[in-house]
Parts: sequence; C-alpha cells; structure tokens
Amino acid sequence: MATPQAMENVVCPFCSLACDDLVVEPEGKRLRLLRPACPLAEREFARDVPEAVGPLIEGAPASLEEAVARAAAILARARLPLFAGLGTDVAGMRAVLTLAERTGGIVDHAGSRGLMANIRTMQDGGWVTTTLAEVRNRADLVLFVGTDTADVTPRFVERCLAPSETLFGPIRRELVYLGDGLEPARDLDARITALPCAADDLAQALLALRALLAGRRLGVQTIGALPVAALAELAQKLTAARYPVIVWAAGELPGESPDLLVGTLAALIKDLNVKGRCAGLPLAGPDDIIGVNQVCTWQTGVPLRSGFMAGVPDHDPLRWDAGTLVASGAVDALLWLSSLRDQPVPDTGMPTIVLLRPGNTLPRPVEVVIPVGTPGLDHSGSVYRTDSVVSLPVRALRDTGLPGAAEVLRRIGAGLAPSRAA
Amino acid sequence: MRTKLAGGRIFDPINGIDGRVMDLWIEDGRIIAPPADGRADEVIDVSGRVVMPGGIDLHSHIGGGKVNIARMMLAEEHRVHLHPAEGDCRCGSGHYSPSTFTTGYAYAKMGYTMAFEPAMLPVNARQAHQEMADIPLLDKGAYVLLGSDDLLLKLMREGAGANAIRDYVAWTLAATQSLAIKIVNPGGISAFKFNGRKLDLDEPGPYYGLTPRTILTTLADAVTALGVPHPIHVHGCNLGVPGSDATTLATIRGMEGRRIHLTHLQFHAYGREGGFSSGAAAIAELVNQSPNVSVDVGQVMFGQTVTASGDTMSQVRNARHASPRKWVAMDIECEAGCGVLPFRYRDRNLVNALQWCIGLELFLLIEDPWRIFLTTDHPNGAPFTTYPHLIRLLMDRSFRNDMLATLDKGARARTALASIEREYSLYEIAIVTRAGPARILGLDRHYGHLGEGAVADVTVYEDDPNRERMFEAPSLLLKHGRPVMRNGVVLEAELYGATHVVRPGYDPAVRGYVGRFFEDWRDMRLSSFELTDTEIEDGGRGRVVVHACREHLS
Repeated sequence: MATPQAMENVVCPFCSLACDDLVVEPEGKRLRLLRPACPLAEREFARDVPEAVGPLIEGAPASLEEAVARAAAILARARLPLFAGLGTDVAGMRAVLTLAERTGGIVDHAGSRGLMANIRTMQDGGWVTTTLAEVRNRADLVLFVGTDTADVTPRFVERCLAPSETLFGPIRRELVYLGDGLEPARDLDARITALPCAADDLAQALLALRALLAGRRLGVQTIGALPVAALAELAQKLTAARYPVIVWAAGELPGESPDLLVGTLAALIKDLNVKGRCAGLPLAGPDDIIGVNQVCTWQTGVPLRSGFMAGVPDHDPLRWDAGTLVASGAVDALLWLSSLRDQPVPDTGMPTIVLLRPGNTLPRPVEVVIPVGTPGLDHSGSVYRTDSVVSLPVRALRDTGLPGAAEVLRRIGAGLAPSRAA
Repeated sequence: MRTKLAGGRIFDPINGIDGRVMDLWIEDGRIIAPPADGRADEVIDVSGRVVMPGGIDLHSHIGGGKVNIARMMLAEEHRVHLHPAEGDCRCGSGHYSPSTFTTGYAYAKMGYTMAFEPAMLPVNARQAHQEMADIPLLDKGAYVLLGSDDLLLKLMREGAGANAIRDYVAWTLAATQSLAIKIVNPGGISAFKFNGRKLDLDEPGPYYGLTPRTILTTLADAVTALGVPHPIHVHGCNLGVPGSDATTLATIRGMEGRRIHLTHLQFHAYGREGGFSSGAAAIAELVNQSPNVSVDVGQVMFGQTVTASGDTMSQVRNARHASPRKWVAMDIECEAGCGVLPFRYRDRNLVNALQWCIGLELFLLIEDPWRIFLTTDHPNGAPFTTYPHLIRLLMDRSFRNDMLATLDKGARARTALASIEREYSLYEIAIVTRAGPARILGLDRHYGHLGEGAVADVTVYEDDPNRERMFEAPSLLLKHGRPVMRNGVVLEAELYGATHVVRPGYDPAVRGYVGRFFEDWRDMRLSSFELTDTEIEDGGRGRVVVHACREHLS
C-alpha cells in the first residue's frame, strides 16, 4: 500500500510511453516505485544517488564554476564540436541548440539510428500514423513488425491492447507478430499469431506482403522459412480489419538501412488507406528522443543530425551521425549529455565534456564531468510520447541539489567569449 | 521613458482616425494622452510616414504538431531557404514552413505584432505553446480544436445537455490556455477514423449519428453562453470540393443568426458549373446580409507551399495532388487528426488560377471590412510573407488586372474579377489587418488600436505608392513601446510576447467527468493534460494575458 508520503500520478520519463499513473515513494533521496509493475521504471527510479557527487576535472573534484569554465574553454577552442547523447528534455535541448549554434557544432542523439529511419521515410514519401488512445479504442488487428515491444516500451500491450472494452463497445483483437525471436503477449484475450521471420528475410517479407495486398501473385512459396500462404492470410486480415495498426520500433529493426523497411511499411499502410483504414504506430526509443527532435525541428527547421558549421542549419541523416563523426575524427570536441537512461559515453581521444546522471560510468577520466539532475526526478520539465503529439509535464520528486542540464549549458554558454555580436 | 512619435499620418480605425496627422505619445509601453507639459524623453520623427497599430494575424499556422511535421518532412525546403544568424538573431530555415525564430523575425519585419495559431489539438497544447514560446517578438494565442473529439460527441449522443457541454468547452479553453474554439470539418475527422470519406452538413456521422449542423449549433451555443468573445472559428464541411459553395450557404443559414467565423472561406466557395467555378458572388451576398458572420479569406498565391490541416478527411482525399509526392496523415488521440501535404499553386492551372480569383472576389465583394480579415491561411494558401503582395492586389486595381491577365485563360473566363472596381483604402487595410482581428477576437480594449491605454504596438511605413513595397518593409516597429525593428533590422531579438487566453467560468465538477473519461478511455491523468500558467511563463520569458468574457447569458 502507498504510504502517506507516496506520490501519485507521477510521469515516467524513461521510455517513450511516458506513463503518468506511477505511484512512487521516496526513501531518503532514493525513490521506490510502488506501482504499476514495470521492470524498466522500477530499475530507473530506484537508482541510487551517490552522496556528494560533484563535478570532476580530469578525474579530480572541482567546483561547478571551474568545471563550467573548463568546458567553455574546450568548446571555444574546438573547430567542430559534437553535441551528442542528448538524453534531455525540452529545456535541455533548447540550451544545447543555443550552444551548438554559437560554436558551429553538430547535434545528434544516442538513439538517432531508428529515428532517422522514420524521418527519412517521412521525407521520402510520408506516412499515415496514429496515437496510443486511438490504438486502445480502435485497433482490431495489430501487426508487430520486428518488435514485441517488451524492451522498447514495456507497458505498451498492457496499456493499449489488454483493454477489451473500448469507447465503441467490446473488442476482441487479433495480434500478429512478424519477426525473429519475438515473444507474443500472454494472458490476453486476443487471437495471437506468430509469423517467425529471420531478420535477413524481413525486408523481403514486407515487400511480398505489399505485393500480395496489391493483388499480385508471387512466384515463390516461401520467404526463408516463412510460407507465402501465411503472408497471404495476413494480407487478407489487413484488408478485412476495420482499423488495423502496424507497430514497429525502428531502433530494433535489423540491417544497415532500416529506413527501407520503414519505407515499405509506410507505403503498404498508404495502399491500405485507399479503400479502408490502416495506421502505423512507430515506437520510439528512450531518452526523450521525440521531444529532443521536436525542439530541434521547430527551432531550426530541421530534425536531428544537424550542424551549424556554416552559421545555418544543415541536416544530413548520414554524414552527421555521431558514431561516424567520432570514429573518423572529423569532430574535435565532444559534449555528451545523458540525464535520463545511461547511454555509454563514447571512448574517444578528443577533449570531452560529460553532463550525466550520477552513477553513470565513464570509459576514462575525461576532461570535464558535471553531474546533472534527471527531468522528472530532480527537476520539472516536459517529455514527449512516442506518438509525437503528446507532451507531458514532469516534476521534481526529490531535492538532490543537482543542477539541470539546461542551467549548466547556459552557464557554459555564458563562459564563451561573445562571438556573434562582436 | 516617454516617447513622442511625431507627425505621422495615423490610421487607427477603432478610434475612427483615418489618416489624420498627429503625434502619438507613449509611456511605459502604453499609448498615453498628450501630456500637459509636452515634454518627451525621446522624439521619433515620423512625419510623412504612415502609422498603424501593429499587424494582427488571426489565422496563421505557426505552432504545433502539424507545423513541425511539415518542417520535418520538407527537407528540400530547408536545404534552400536558409537564414543565417545575424546580431542577436538566431539562425533558422524555411520559407513556407519557417522555424520559430525565423517566424518571429519575419512577422516583425512585416510590421506584425500578434499572430494566432488557429488549430491547436487539446492534447497537443503543450507542444504548441512550447513552440510558440520560441517565436520572438510576437504576441500569440491559439484556438483549440473541438467538434470531432469523442468526449464531445459522446456527451451529445448521450444527451448530456447544454450545461455539461458548456462546462466541457470552458474547461477545455482553460486547460489548454486557448483564446477561442476552432471547429474543423465538424464530425468529419471522427468519421474518417471509421473510414468515412465525406460528411455533408446534414449527414449523420458514423457511430455517433450526429450531423455537422448539430455539432456547429451546439458549440456555437456553448461559446455564446460562455461569453467567449470570438465566435466559433469554423473550417466547414467539404473543403475544396466543387459544390462546397452550397454547403457554405447552407452552413450560414443553418446558424439561424448565431455568430460564426468562417475561416479560409476561399477554400469553401467552389461551384460545380463546368466542373469548377466561382461561388464567391452568392456567398459574399449572403455574408453581406448576415451580420452574425465574419470571415477570413485564405487567399492562395502562386508557388510552392505546404498545406497542414486538422482535416484528415480532406487531406487524404487530396493526397494525389501532393507536390512533391509525399504526405502525412495522423489520427490523433480521440480528439482529431492532421494531414500535411506539400502543394504547388500554378498560375497556368485552371483550378489554381480560379482559386486565386475566388479569394480576391471574396475580398472585394464582401462589403463590411470589419467582418473580413486578411489571411492566406499560412501556409495553406501561401506563406504569410505574401501579405504585402496581397495588399497591393487589393489596393491597386490596375496591378490586379495586370496579374489577372497572366493567368490561365479558362480561369479568366470564369471570374468576374476584372470588372470589380473596388480598391481598398489604407484605412480599410488597417481594419482587415489590425482593428478587425482585434475586435473579433475580443482584444480591442488594449490591442489593435492607438488610443489612450492601448499597448504601444505600432508600425511605421513609408508612404510608397507601390503598396507591396510599402507593406513589406516598414521602417519602424514598436513593441510595447520599444523599437524592436528598424529598416529591416531586428533590434531586440530576445524580446518575447505574451500568450492571450480566455477563461470563462465552469462548474468544477466537470473535471470529475472529464477526468474519468481520460482515465478510462485515454489512459491519461488530467494532471498531465492541463497546462499551467507556470509552464507558459517559463521562468519569466512568457506571460499570460487573460481576456474578459461577457457575462453568462444563460
């Protein structure tokens, strides 16, 4: 049972479902999740806050002023700084962009691989998508492609598919899982079909499905181990359903070019909308990647993987990949921001500034480490849900005295010599 | 600090001032009466120049999900329309889907000081306000979208009664920090989720069995009872369809005297004759006879733009016209939806050319300038930066006819535009771009005029006979009495405007009902939905201005 101290209606910032029904109890500076059952939230809320965490310079304790000054010096000297990780909220991303623009840097998020697959699909052909409450009330057929959602959004099935009462009456859903090693939902009053498909065959299976939906006959009986007849039956179901929804998590899609898979799905969904309805539900990765991308897009006009080298926004989903930039040595300073889940700090030889949630581990004693608070635990803010529409407010649940990333970034910016006006 | 703006020709329609040469006195951000001592700390000589209140755009898609989708999907637009940082101005990109900082600077350079996002989904309010918070130099606000939301339709279907609906509307305005109620394709966005592809004014929608007419009158009555200054802001049924002129006429008549604002009327004024014709004349005539009706035009201009709308039904129907060929549609959260598709209006295309003519016919045939407002439905008809060109089309008949002569011949044969002699005066332009929007939105106590006590948002223009050149490059813009733009240079890039809202009262018990609906069907708590003043204020950068509602009439 909840104690008098328990806080209700807490919004969880740790995955892109942003559930807002958490009950959390403080134990000193630690937080304990009382309900609901979510392994991810339980782990993240319970993370210990080490006593006396403070900034470090080259591994040695330093004041915030000293750390900020050193960070500013690194950015001022850099020819091409990279702002990456970017596990932060709206306020944090606003501050990142101010700094990146001033220093002519590049911005990229730790989860961009999946995001870029979705964005390139939007840019190339567009798509038809839906949101969580529509899925909950309308989806009579749900096709999972390459994900069972357990890792990316642990409570998706519970929240959106388990309810059998909808606004429009009772519903018995059908769930189809297409992919490799997927674990279908259990304890659910739904018809469940698994269509195992090896990762390497997924692209072909989707193209075949689209062809079948278009009424074409295929010259093969199987795709890998997957019988074409099973795909034909799926095509039939997609056509017959009232509101079929196709779910994917681009970050979990296999291969070098997940955008081709997402693109095929988007085209197939559009085909289905000529006569009937169908919608996609892209499940986003963690670290408020949707919110961070939204801020980047509205402030600059372009999504993530953008740079300001020439004083104007320059978006390039391939060239401005943080991983490639670090590996090739094209950038000469790194600011890594990770205030939500722990994203491993890249081990580079270049001057590195890390703004992180205390307890995160580092590959080496980097030049500057500044512990920052987590939005929704240590300070208020807002985070976005996977469907890109819903932004939820998060609040401070405890007082750790940790500064927010936005505040630290503002102070670093103030430490830079006035560049533009002068 | 007391400033004298000396010797300008003042156009201030709310105070009946039509080009009188007089001084304007400003102190602490407000217009004051000429002081007895006649002393000023600063005198700005504007003799020979034209002085108006700051421009007010009552319908411009400047913030929220669909705008950001447009930016995200139009990589090609954002590769070529680049805006470098300049002084304290931030960099940005986009012409018809401009980034937020760029939007603020561009409006300021055009002499505008307020703009309103006309289609904010309730659940997207936080994002829309966060985006608008990043638009500098403008005051802003939003109209919240109802009319296809499952909660309203359920209340109506269950016969919950006028009081329950009124309370729900009032709560929605407050919870989303909105200024007015927007309705898009009433019931139609809901119908599309059931695979409905059209919904006429008197056609019962799927599942709920409600007609658009009933939804319109129900919400109009709620808004009236709450005393919300702005009438229901309506994007009607059958947008873009030949024959929509008849729907529009029926919609006006169907209001039976209730107040209604018909937005981007141009898109709803198409006749069927010869496949596609102008319905402007009959609609203008009925609007002229109907004092309960106000409109904005949604003029189209030729060139590339993007259309972003809550009307999924219409956007998906028109998806084959997308240029370039890509489009996005979304069903959204038991509330509404959105559709975004790039579009190129071509002057040699009969339909596009006739759309241009129909918009201008409406501008010129609707007689009362207080009931028609200058918009392009940015970016749907054209980006807002085309306003100066549009103003010249309205003010200069020979220029208008020269432009008309270059258009598709078939379109020219179907329009009476060439024979219309009317030219707008500067006074009328001041009405349709300032005074009128302020009045219809209920802001006119302190905004949209230059009388004593008004907020000193003031635009100064060179009196150039080429009105396009005049209106695209005002020489000075004051925001709250401070010079923020001079000769195209932004002086105060980090000044942010207020957010304008209304908060009619409601029975707090409605939160119980709405809260249960949200938890039962949307799996969301009201605490994560309702938008607080603290969020808008954002540590001091933002500010909420609450406008008065009239007394309850019920």
